[in-house]
Amino acid sequence: MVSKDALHALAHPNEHALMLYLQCLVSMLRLLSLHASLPGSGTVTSRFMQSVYTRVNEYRTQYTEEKDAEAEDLDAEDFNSEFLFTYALDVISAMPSEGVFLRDLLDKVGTMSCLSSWVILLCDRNDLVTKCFIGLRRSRSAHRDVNSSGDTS
Amino acid sequence: MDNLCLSIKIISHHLKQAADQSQKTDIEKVQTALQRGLITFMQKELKANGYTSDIMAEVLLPQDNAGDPLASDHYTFGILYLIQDLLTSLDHSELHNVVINNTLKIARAATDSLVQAKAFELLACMSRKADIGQTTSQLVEQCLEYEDWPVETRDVAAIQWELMSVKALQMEQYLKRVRAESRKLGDWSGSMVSLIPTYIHMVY
Repeated sequence: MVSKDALHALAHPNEHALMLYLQCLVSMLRLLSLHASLPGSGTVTSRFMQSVYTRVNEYRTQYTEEKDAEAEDLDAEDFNSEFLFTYALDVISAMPSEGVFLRDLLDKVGTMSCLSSWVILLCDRNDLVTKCFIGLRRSRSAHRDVNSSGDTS
Repeated sequence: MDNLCLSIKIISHHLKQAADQSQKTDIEKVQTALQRGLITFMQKELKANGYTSDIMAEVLLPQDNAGDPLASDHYTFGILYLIQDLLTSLDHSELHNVVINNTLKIARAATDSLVQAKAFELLACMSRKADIGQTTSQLVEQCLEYEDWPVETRDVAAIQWELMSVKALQMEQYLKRVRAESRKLGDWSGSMVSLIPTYIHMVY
Protein backbone atom coordinates (compact mmCIF):
# COMPACT_ATOMS: atom_id res chain seq x y z
CA MET A 1 0.00 0.00 0.00
CA VAL A 2 2.82 2.41 0.74
CA SER A 3 5.76 1.08 -1.28
CA LYS A 4 3.68 0.83 -4.45
CA ASP A 5 2.31 4.32 -3.88
CA ALA A 6 -1.30 3.11 -3.86
CA LEU A 7 -2.58 6.49 -2.69
CA HIS A 8 -1.49 8.27 -5.85
CA ALA A 9 -2.60 5.37 -8.01
CA LEU A 10 -6.25 5.91 -7.02
CA ALA A 11 -8.56 6.52 -9.95
CA HIS A 12 -10.66 9.15 -8.13
CA PRO A 13 -8.65 10.65 -5.25
CA ASN A 14 -10.92 12.46 -2.79
CA GLU A 15 -11.44 12.85 0.96
CA HIS A 16 -13.40 9.57 1.23
CA ALA A 17 -10.72 7.67 -0.70
CA LEU A 18 -8.01 9.10 1.54
CA MET A 19 -9.97 8.19 4.67
CA LEU A 20 -10.51 4.64 3.47
CA TYR A 21 -6.87 4.33 2.46
CA LEU A 22 -5.68 5.55 5.87
CA GLN A 23 -8.12 3.31 7.75
CA CYS A 24 -6.86 0.29 5.77
CA LEU A 25 -3.25 1.35 6.36
CA VAL A 26 -3.73 1.68 10.13
CA SER A 27 -5.56 -1.68 10.37
CA MET A 28 -2.84 -3.35 8.32
CA LEU A 29 -0.07 -1.84 10.44
CA ARG A 30 -1.84 -2.88 13.66
CA LEU A 31 -2.05 -6.46 12.41
CA LEU A 32 1.56 -6.36 11.26
CA SER A 33 2.73 -5.06 14.64
CA LEU A 34 0.86 -7.91 16.36
CA HIS A 35 2.19 -10.61 14.06
CA ALA A 36 5.72 -9.29 13.62
CA SER A 37 6.72 -10.49 17.07
CA LEU A 38 5.32 -14.01 16.59
CA PRO A 39 7.79 -16.84 15.94
CA GLY A 40 8.08 -17.83 12.30
CA SER A 41 6.61 -14.59 10.99
CA GLY A 42 9.96 -13.27 9.79
CA THR A 43 11.56 -9.99 10.67
CA VAL A 44 10.53 -6.57 9.52
CA THR A 45 13.71 -4.65 8.82
CA SER A 46 14.13 -1.25 10.42
CA ARG A 47 15.34 0.09 7.07
CA PHE A 48 12.05 -0.90 5.44
CA MET A 49 10.03 0.62 8.28
CA GLN A 50 12.09 3.80 8.00
CA SER A 51 11.26 4.06 4.28
CA VAL A 52 7.55 3.47 5.03
CA TYR A 53 7.66 6.15 7.73
CA THR A 54 9.30 8.63 5.37
CA ARG A 55 6.74 7.96 2.63
CA VAL A 56 3.73 8.29 4.96
CA ASN A 57 5.22 11.46 6.41
CA GLU A 58 5.54 12.84 2.87
CA TYR A 59 1.87 12.02 2.25
CA ARG A 60 0.98 13.89 5.42
CA THR A 61 3.01 16.96 4.49
CA GLN A 62 1.44 16.98 1.05
CA TYR A 63 -2.04 16.58 2.53
CA THR A 64 -1.48 19.39 5.06
CA GLU A 65 -0.23 21.74 2.35
CA GLU A 66 -3.21 20.98 0.12
CA LYS A 67 -5.61 21.41 3.01
CA ASP A 68 -4.06 24.71 4.02
CA ALA A 69 -4.47 25.96 0.46
CA GLU A 70 -8.15 24.96 0.39
CA ALA A 71 -8.85 26.01 3.97
CA GLU A 72 -11.21 28.81 3.01
CA ASP A 73 -13.39 26.53 0.90
CA LEU A 74 -13.99 24.02 3.67
CA ASP A 75 -17.46 24.21 5.13
CA ALA A 76 -16.85 21.60 7.79
CA GLU A 77 -13.75 20.91 9.82
CA ASP A 78 -12.40 17.41 9.52
CA PHE A 79 -9.63 16.13 11.74
CA ASN A 80 -9.98 12.44 10.84
CA SER A 81 -7.25 12.32 8.22
CA GLU A 82 -4.74 14.21 10.39
CA PHE A 83 -5.53 11.88 13.25
CA LEU A 84 -5.11 8.80 11.05
CA PHE A 85 -1.78 10.06 9.67
CA THR A 86 -0.49 10.59 13.22
CA TYR A 87 -1.86 7.22 14.29
CA ALA A 88 -0.21 5.45 11.33
CA LEU A 89 3.15 7.15 11.96
CA ASP A 90 2.92 6.27 15.63
CA VAL A 91 2.29 2.58 14.86
CA ILE A 92 5.13 2.53 12.29
CA SER A 93 7.61 4.03 14.75
CA ALA A 94 6.58 1.48 17.40
CA MET A 95 6.77 -1.48 15.00
CA PRO A 96 8.96 -4.32 16.29
CA SER A 97 11.90 -4.69 13.91
CA GLU A 98 15.43 -6.02 14.12
CA GLY A 99 16.52 -2.54 15.24
CA VAL A 100 14.14 -2.74 18.19
CA PHE A 101 15.35 -6.24 19.06
CA LEU A 102 18.94 -4.98 18.94
CA ARG A 103 18.05 -2.01 21.13
CA ASP A 104 16.32 -4.35 23.62
CA LEU A 105 19.39 -6.57 23.62
CA LEU A 106 21.68 -3.60 24.21
CA ASP A 107 19.41 -2.42 27.01
CA LYS A 108 19.64 -5.86 28.58
CA VAL A 109 23.42 -5.89 28.18
CA GLY A 110 23.49 -2.40 29.66
CA THR A 111 21.40 -3.55 32.62
CA MET A 112 23.64 -6.58 33.07
CA SER A 113 26.82 -4.51 32.98
CA CYS A 114 25.28 -2.07 35.43
CA LEU A 115 24.33 -4.99 37.68
CA SER A 116 27.79 -6.50 37.33
CA SER A 117 29.45 -3.22 38.42
CA TRP A 118 27.18 -3.19 41.45
CA VAL A 119 28.18 -6.77 42.22
CA ILE A 120 31.89 -5.85 41.86
CA LEU A 121 31.35 -2.86 44.10
CA LEU A 122 29.58 -5.01 46.66
CA CYS A 123 32.35 -7.62 46.45
CA ASP A 124 34.92 -4.89 46.91
CA ARG A 125 32.99 -3.58 49.86
CA ASN A 126 32.74 -7.10 51.27
CA ASP A 127 36.43 -7.49 50.74
CA LEU A 128 37.00 -4.18 52.51
CA VAL A 129 34.76 -5.26 55.37
CA THR A 130 36.60 -8.59 55.55
CA LYS A 131 39.94 -6.79 55.53
CA CYS A 132 38.76 -4.44 58.26
CA PHE A 133 37.42 -7.35 60.26
CA ILE A 134 40.70 -9.25 59.92
CA GLY A 135 42.69 -6.11 60.80
CA LEU A 136 40.49 -5.52 63.83
CA ARG A 137 40.92 -9.08 64.99
CA ARG A 138 44.68 -8.82 64.49
CA SER A 139 44.92 -5.53 66.39
CA ARG A 140 42.75 -6.93 69.17
CA SER A 141 44.85 -10.06 69.45
CA ALA A 142 48.02 -7.92 69.40
CA HIS A 143 46.55 -5.70 72.07
CA ARG A 144 45.63 -8.79 74.09
CA ASP A 145 49.18 -10.12 73.64
CA VAL A 146 50.65 -6.83 74.81
CA ASN A 147 48.33 -6.79 77.79
CA SER A 148 49.07 -10.39 78.68
CA SER A 149 52.86 -9.81 78.39
CA GLY A 150 52.46 -6.72 80.59
CA ASP A 151 50.63 -8.75 83.17
CA THR A 152 53.27 -11.41 83.24
CA SER A 153 56.05 -8.83 83.46
CA MET B 1 -7.54 1.14 24.81
CA ASP B 2 -6.40 0.38 21.29
CA ASN B 3 -5.55 -3.19 22.31
CA LEU B 4 -8.82 -3.53 24.19
CA CYS B 5 -10.80 -2.51 21.09
CA LEU B 6 -8.82 -4.92 18.95
CA SER B 7 -9.42 -7.73 21.48
CA ILE B 8 -13.18 -7.07 21.42
CA LYS B 9 -13.14 -7.22 17.62
CA ILE B 10 -11.22 -10.53 17.66
CA ILE B 11 -13.51 -12.02 20.33
CA SER B 12 -16.69 -11.03 18.48
CA HIS B 13 -15.25 -12.58 15.32
CA HIS B 14 -14.58 -15.83 17.24
CA LEU B 15 -18.08 -15.71 18.72
CA LYS B 16 -19.57 -15.68 15.24
CA GLN B 17 -17.39 -18.64 14.24
CA ALA B 18 -18.01 -20.74 17.39
CA ALA B 19 -20.21 -23.78 16.81
CA ASP B 20 -20.07 -25.43 20.23
CA GLN B 21 -22.51 -24.00 22.83
CA SER B 22 -20.15 -24.28 25.80
CA GLN B 23 -17.40 -22.59 23.80
CA LYS B 24 -19.87 -19.87 22.84
CA THR B 25 -20.78 -19.30 26.51
CA ASP B 26 -17.11 -18.99 27.45
CA ILE B 27 -16.42 -16.51 24.65
CA GLU B 28 -19.50 -14.48 25.62
CA LYS B 29 -18.17 -14.24 29.18
CA VAL B 30 -14.84 -12.93 27.89
CA GLN B 31 -16.63 -10.51 25.58
CA THR B 32 -18.76 -9.15 28.46
CA ALA B 33 -15.67 -8.74 30.65
CA LEU B 34 -13.83 -6.90 27.86
CA GLN B 35 -16.78 -4.63 27.14
CA ARG B 36 -17.16 -3.77 30.83
CA GLY B 37 -13.43 -3.06 30.98
CA LEU B 38 -13.74 -0.77 27.99
CA ILE B 39 -16.74 1.06 29.46
CA THR B 40 -14.94 1.56 32.79
CA PHE B 41 -11.80 2.79 31.07
CA MET B 42 -13.66 5.11 28.74
CA GLN B 43 -15.73 6.69 31.53
CA LYS B 44 -12.67 7.11 33.72
CA GLU B 45 -10.68 8.77 30.95
CA LEU B 46 -13.54 11.02 29.90
CA LYS B 47 -14.05 12.09 33.49
CA ALA B 48 -10.32 12.79 33.80
CA ASN B 49 -10.58 15.00 30.71
CA GLY B 50 -13.42 17.08 32.06
CA TYR B 51 -16.57 15.24 30.96
CA THR B 52 -18.63 14.50 34.08
CA SER B 53 -20.93 11.49 34.32
CA ASP B 54 -24.11 13.41 35.07
CA ILE B 55 -25.83 14.62 31.90
CA MET B 56 -27.72 17.41 33.64
CA ALA B 57 -24.66 18.76 35.45
CA GLU B 58 -23.00 21.86 34.09
CA VAL B 59 -19.90 20.53 32.44
CA LEU B 60 -16.73 22.54 32.59
CA LEU B 61 -13.32 21.65 31.32
CA PRO B 62 -10.86 21.94 34.23
CA GLN B 63 -8.36 24.18 32.42
CA ASP B 64 -6.09 24.52 35.46
CA ASN B 65 -5.95 20.82 36.27
CA ALA B 66 -6.04 19.28 32.84
CA GLY B 67 -2.69 20.67 31.73
CA ASP B 68 -2.69 21.26 27.98
CA PRO B 69 -6.37 21.56 26.87
CA LEU B 70 -5.36 20.90 23.25
CA ALA B 71 -3.76 17.58 24.20
CA SER B 72 -6.85 16.71 26.22
CA ASP B 73 -9.08 17.41 23.18
CA HIS B 74 -6.86 15.31 20.93
CA TYR B 75 -7.01 12.51 23.48
CA THR B 76 -10.82 12.65 23.61
CA PHE B 77 -10.87 12.70 19.80
CA GLY B 78 -8.72 9.53 19.81
CA ILE B 79 -11.07 7.77 22.22
CA LEU B 80 -14.06 8.67 20.05
CA TYR B 81 -12.27 7.52 16.90
CA LEU B 82 -11.41 4.11 18.39
CA ILE B 83 -14.95 3.65 19.73
CA GLN B 84 -16.45 4.58 16.35
CA ASP B 85 -14.14 2.18 14.57
CA LEU B 86 -15.13 -0.59 16.98
CA LEU B 87 -18.87 -0.04 17.10
CA THR B 88 -19.44 0.19 13.36
CA SER B 89 -18.26 -3.41 13.03
CA LEU B 90 -20.18 -4.80 16.05
CA ASP B 91 -23.79 -5.91 16.44
CA HIS B 92 -25.94 -4.06 18.92
CA SER B 93 -24.92 -4.59 22.55
CA GLU B 94 -24.94 -2.87 25.94
CA LEU B 95 -21.76 -1.12 24.83
CA HIS B 96 -23.67 0.78 22.11
CA ASN B 97 -26.17 2.23 24.60
CA VAL B 98 -23.44 3.36 27.01
CA VAL B 99 -21.37 4.87 24.21
CA ILE B 100 -24.32 6.72 22.67
CA ASN B 101 -25.20 8.27 26.04
CA ASN B 102 -21.60 9.25 26.74
CA THR B 103 -21.13 10.65 23.24
CA LEU B 104 -24.22 12.81 23.63
CA LYS B 105 -22.70 14.24 26.81
CA ILE B 106 -19.43 14.94 25.00
CA ALA B 107 -21.26 16.58 22.09
CA ARG B 108 -22.96 18.88 24.55
CA ALA B 109 -19.98 19.60 26.77
CA ALA B 110 -17.15 19.87 24.23
CA THR B 111 -15.56 23.28 23.97
CA ASP B 112 -13.46 22.21 21.00
CA SER B 113 -15.37 22.13 17.70
CA LEU B 114 -13.33 19.17 16.39
CA VAL B 115 -14.27 17.02 19.38
CA GLN B 116 -17.91 18.06 19.07
CA ALA B 117 -17.88 17.27 15.34
CA LYS B 118 -16.34 13.87 16.06
CA ALA B 119 -19.00 13.11 18.68
CA PHE B 120 -21.73 13.93 16.18
CA GLU B 121 -19.93 11.89 13.52
CA LEU B 122 -19.97 8.86 15.83
CA LEU B 123 -23.67 9.40 16.51
CA ALA B 124 -24.33 9.81 12.78
CA CYS B 125 -22.49 6.53 12.08
CA MET B 126 -24.65 4.82 14.71
CA SER B 127 -27.74 6.33 13.11
CA ARG B 128 -26.83 4.55 9.84
CA LYS B 129 -26.87 1.14 11.53
CA ALA B 130 -29.88 -1.06 10.86
CA ASP B 131 -30.50 -2.16 14.45
CA ILE B 132 -30.10 1.06 16.47
CA GLY B 133 -30.12 3.70 13.73
CA GLN B 134 -33.61 5.08 14.22
CA THR B 135 -33.34 5.17 18.03
CA THR B 136 -30.04 7.05 17.84
CA SER B 137 -31.39 9.67 15.43
CA GLN B 138 -34.46 10.20 17.59
CA LEU B 139 -32.32 10.49 20.72
CA VAL B 140 -30.03 13.12 19.20
CA GLU B 141 -32.87 15.14 17.74
CA GLN B 142 -34.77 14.98 21.02
CA CYS B 143 -31.65 16.07 22.88
CA LEU B 144 -31.09 18.99 20.50
CA GLU B 145 -34.70 20.08 20.70
CA TYR B 146 -35.69 19.68 24.33
CA GLU B 147 -32.58 19.82 26.47
CA ASP B 148 -31.43 23.12 27.91
CA TRP B 149 -28.46 23.76 25.66
CA PRO B 150 -27.15 27.32 25.41
CA VAL B 151 -28.69 28.91 22.28
CA GLU B 152 -25.38 29.37 20.41
CA THR B 153 -24.20 25.86 21.22
CA ARG B 154 -27.53 24.40 20.12
CA ASP B 155 -27.38 26.14 16.71
CA VAL B 156 -23.78 25.05 16.07
CA ALA B 157 -24.58 21.53 17.26
CA ALA B 158 -27.63 21.31 15.01
CA ILE B 159 -25.52 22.31 11.99
CA GLN B 160 -22.80 19.83 12.93
CA TRP B 161 -25.33 17.03 13.36
CA GLU B 162 -26.76 17.78 9.92
CA LEU B 163 -23.31 17.91 8.30
CA MET B 164 -22.15 14.72 9.97
CA SER B 165 -25.33 12.88 8.99
CA VAL B 166 -24.70 13.85 5.37
CA LYS B 167 -21.06 12.83 5.70
CA ALA B 168 -21.99 9.41 7.13
CA LEU B 169 -24.42 8.89 4.26
CA GLN B 170 -21.80 9.94 1.68
CA MET B 171 -19.21 7.60 3.22
CA GLU B 172 -21.70 4.73 3.16
CA GLN B 173 -22.48 5.38 -0.50
CA TYR B 174 -18.78 5.63 -1.31
CA LEU B 175 -18.12 2.30 0.40
CA LYS B 176 -20.97 0.69 -1.54
CA ARG B 177 -19.48 1.99 -4.79
CA VAL B 178 -16.00 0.75 -3.87
CA ARG B 179 -17.40 -2.68 -2.96
CA ALA B 180 -19.27 -2.88 -6.25
CA GLU B 181 -16.15 -1.88 -8.19
CA SER B 182 -13.99 -4.43 -6.34
CA ARG B 183 -16.66 -7.10 -7.02
CA LYS B 184 -16.51 -6.23 -10.72
CA LEU B 185 -12.73 -6.42 -10.59
CA GLY B 186 -13.00 -9.79 -8.84
CA ASP B 187 -15.42 -11.07 -11.50
CA TRP B 188 -13.14 -9.80 -14.24
CA SER B 189 -10.04 -11.42 -12.73
CA GLY B 190 -12.09 -14.60 -12.14
CA SER B 191 -13.15 -14.71 -15.78
CA MET B 192 -9.56 -14.02 -16.85
CA VAL B 193 -8.37 -16.90 -14.67
CA SER B 194 -10.97 -19.20 -16.22
CA LEU B 195 -9.78 -18.14 -19.70
CA ILE B 196 -6.14 -19.01 -18.96
CA PRO B 197 -6.48 -22.82 -19.56
CA THR B 198 -8.29 -22.12 -22.87
CA TYR B 199 -5.53 -19.72 -23.88
CA ILE B 200 -2.82 -22.22 -22.93
CA HIS B 201 -4.67 -24.93 -24.88
CA MET B 202 -4.82 -22.63 -27.93
CA VAL B 203 -1.12 -21.75 -27.74
CA TYR B 204 0.13 -25.28 -27.26
